[in-house]
Amino acid sequence: MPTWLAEGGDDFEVALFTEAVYVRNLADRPFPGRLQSEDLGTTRRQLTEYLGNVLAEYRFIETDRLPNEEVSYLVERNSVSSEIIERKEGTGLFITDDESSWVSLNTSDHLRFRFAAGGSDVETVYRKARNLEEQLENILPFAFSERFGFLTARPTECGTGLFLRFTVHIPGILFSNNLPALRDSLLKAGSTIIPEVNPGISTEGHLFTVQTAHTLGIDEEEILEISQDMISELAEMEYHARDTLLSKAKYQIEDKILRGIGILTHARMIAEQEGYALANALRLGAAEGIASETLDLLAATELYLIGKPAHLIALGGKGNKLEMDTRRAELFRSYIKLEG
Amino acid sequence: MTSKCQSCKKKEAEIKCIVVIDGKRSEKYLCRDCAISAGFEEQSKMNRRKTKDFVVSSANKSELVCPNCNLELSQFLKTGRLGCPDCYKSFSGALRDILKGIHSASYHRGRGPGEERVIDIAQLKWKLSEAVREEDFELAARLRDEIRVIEKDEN
Repeated sequence: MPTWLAEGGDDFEVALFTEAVYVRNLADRPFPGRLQSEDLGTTRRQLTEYLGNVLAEYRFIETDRLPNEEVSYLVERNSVSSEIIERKEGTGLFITDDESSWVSLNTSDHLRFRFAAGGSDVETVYRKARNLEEQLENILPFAFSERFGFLTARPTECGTGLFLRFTVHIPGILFSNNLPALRDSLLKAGSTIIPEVNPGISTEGHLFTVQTAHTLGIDEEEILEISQDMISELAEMEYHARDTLLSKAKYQIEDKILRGIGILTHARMIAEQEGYALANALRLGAAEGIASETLDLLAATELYLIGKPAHLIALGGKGNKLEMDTRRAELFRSYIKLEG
Repeated sequence: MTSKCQSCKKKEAEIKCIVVIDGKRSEKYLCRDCAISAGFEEQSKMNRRKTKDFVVSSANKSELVCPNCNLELSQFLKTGRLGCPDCYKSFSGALRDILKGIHSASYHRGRGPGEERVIDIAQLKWKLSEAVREEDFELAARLRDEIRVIEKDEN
């Protein structure tokens, strides 16, 4: 698990982490999607040269030289945006050792930079992102128009080019069928909610991404306000739903979680989908103090990550499905607390 | 329902134009002429619901092209990706409506890169390296002079 996530944070029972992302482009050339190979290379070289001083604490990776599973590994842990899978050529990544901050070069836009913190923490991620944005603004000519603001390859991101997002765990809202109501209410308040995308998993999980929906026509302060309002509303709704569930359907919920503990402690093979479902149930259990003597909230959170394919490969090399499922079960067991 | 075209505001609107970008949908009602000149074309008749309410989403071949990066408006409507900063000027008409649909606004609010700071020497140096790369020596000489003046002032 990235160290920044292992620190947890406010409302960690619901909000796994908070991210602030800025999208910026150079004024003097086409966006990466329209650049020829040679120009992509030149742009990356110039950007690394110019950013090297500002980003002295970061290490640089030429992501197009990485094998696919290493790129997937970075994507799985949110250490680069998933669009890098569509087109790797000419891309690059500056990343801090703790992986809380990264700057990607030549993905959909010349620069995308992201700051993350565990739990709900808009202030920290925004402050850090804004600080870097100002430093970069001083050395790079950013594409900007009075009318449309900072110009981005996607018109959905132009204007401030800033968005805030949270990855949230909302079993309570899902079990009580309140997702449509939440979605409507968030939409009205200027944000969207989408299920976390997991290529290997067909059913909808309990993890969602909630993100500010607009970048144009509102300024940064308003975006921050919207993000803070949306996470407090969501957390409150989730806590309320969990309380109701645990009072009305105590045995059903406990049964689900304790069966999960049974699988965690005894299963010798766990498939990706089952592992994900297990993480869903055990994380709820850990947050609500059910069987928390077996697994704590951080460990339960880590199960989401550790069960993903590229993480399994990183921890023990490639293998067939049988080997992967066995490795997943073994790794999952290693998170059980030794002393009850 | 009869209403005027949202573009020319003269003829009767007869086509519902839908643009979907990154899953965000915006709609407008146009007359046939404005729809075609804005780069829309009729979707397959299979999807047509009513004569006055058919959905159009992709675009016509003979249409707007960004002179800077040669991106066609239809490519943008298909992929949802613009090609370069100039595309915002080249397609400003279409973009205004699309942005209103996505953001309920078509004007930027908030700070810009020129604000809260004076001309920065690092930015001039960046421009200088670009000018040298492009062998625009006249511009390079001018930038070098500007940098010298600022550096002298700072010292």
